[in-house]
Amino acid sequence: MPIEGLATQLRKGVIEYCVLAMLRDSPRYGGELVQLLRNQDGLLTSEGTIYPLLSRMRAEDLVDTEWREAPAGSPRRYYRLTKSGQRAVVEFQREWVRFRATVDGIFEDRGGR
Amino acid sequence: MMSAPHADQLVSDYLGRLDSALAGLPKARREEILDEITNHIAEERSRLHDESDADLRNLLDRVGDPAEVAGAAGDEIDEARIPGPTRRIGPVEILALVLTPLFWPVGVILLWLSPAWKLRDRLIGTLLPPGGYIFIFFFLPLILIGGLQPSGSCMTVSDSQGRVIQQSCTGFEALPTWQQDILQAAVLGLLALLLVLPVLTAIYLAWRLRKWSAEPAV
Repeated sequence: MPIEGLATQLRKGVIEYCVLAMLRDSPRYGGELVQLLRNQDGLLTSEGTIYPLLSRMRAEDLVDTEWREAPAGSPRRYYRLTKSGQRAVVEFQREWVRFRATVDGIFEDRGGR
Repeated sequence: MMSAPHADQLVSDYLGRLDSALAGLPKARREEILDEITNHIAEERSRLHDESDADLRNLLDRVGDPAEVAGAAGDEIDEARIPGPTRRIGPVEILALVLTPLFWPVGVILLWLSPAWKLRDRLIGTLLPPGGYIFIFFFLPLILIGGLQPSGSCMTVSDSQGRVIQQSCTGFEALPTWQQDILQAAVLGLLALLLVLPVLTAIYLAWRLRKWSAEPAV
C-alpha cells in the first residue's frame, strides 16, 4: 500500500470518532470543528469533508443539531452528541486503547518475543 | 484586490461543481451539505481583511476539491445507488396492492407472502372488508333487497265507504317515519362505506409499503 494511501485509510477510520469526541463537552458548529482540527496534524486535509461527515453522523443519529444565532451573518447549525453518539465515543475509546496497545506491543518487540 | 463580482463568481462556480459532485445523494442531504459549506466559505471570507484572488483560491483549496468533499459522503452515494435486496418494491407488492381490493383471494395470498407488510397491515388488508369487491358484489343484491325494501306490512281495515277505520302495521312499517328515514340512511351509509373501504384499505397498504421501502435494508 502506498504511504499516502495508508495515511488516508488511517484517517478515515478515526476522523468520525475524533469529531464525536470534540463534541463531548459542548455543542459546536462546523467552522469551529474545522478550526480545532486544523491544529491536529494530518487529520483533516480538505476542510469541506467535515460537512458530509457531520451530515452522515446526523443521519445515523450520532449527533443532532440546533440552530443558534451567529454574531454576524446567518444562523449556525450546532452539532451535539446524542445518547448513541456518547456510547460510540466510549466504545471507540475502549477499542482504540486496546488496539494501540496491541500495535505498539508488536512494534516495540520488533515483531517477536 | 479583485472585484467582488469576480470573487462571488469563483465561489458560485465552486459550489456549482460541488453540487454536481454530490448528485448521488438524496436531495435533503445534498442541500444540507451545500448549505453548510456555503456558510463556511462566507464566514472564512469575512475573516479575510483584504480579499485577493490568491486568498480566495487558497480558501477554496483548503475547503477541498469538490470531488474529494463529495467522496467523504461517497460510501453512502454507492449504497444509495444499489437498492437493498429486501427493501425493493417488486411485482409481488404491486400485484398484492392491486389484487387485494379487486381479486381478494390472490391479493391476500401475495399480501401474506411479501415481507413488506407487518401482521397488523396484513390483518387490515385481509379483513377490511373480507373478500374485497368480490364479497361486496356478491352480497350487494342481498343487502339491497334486505335493506332498501324493508320487511313489514300494513293491514288496513276500511268501512263500506272506503274510510280507514283501523290500520295496523308490523315490522319496519310499524316504526314512525323519522325512524324509517334514519334506518334507510344508515343502510345507504353502510353501502357507501363498503364501496370505498377496499380502496381505503389499498391506500393504507400503499402508504405502509412506501414507508417500508424508505427504510434502509437490514
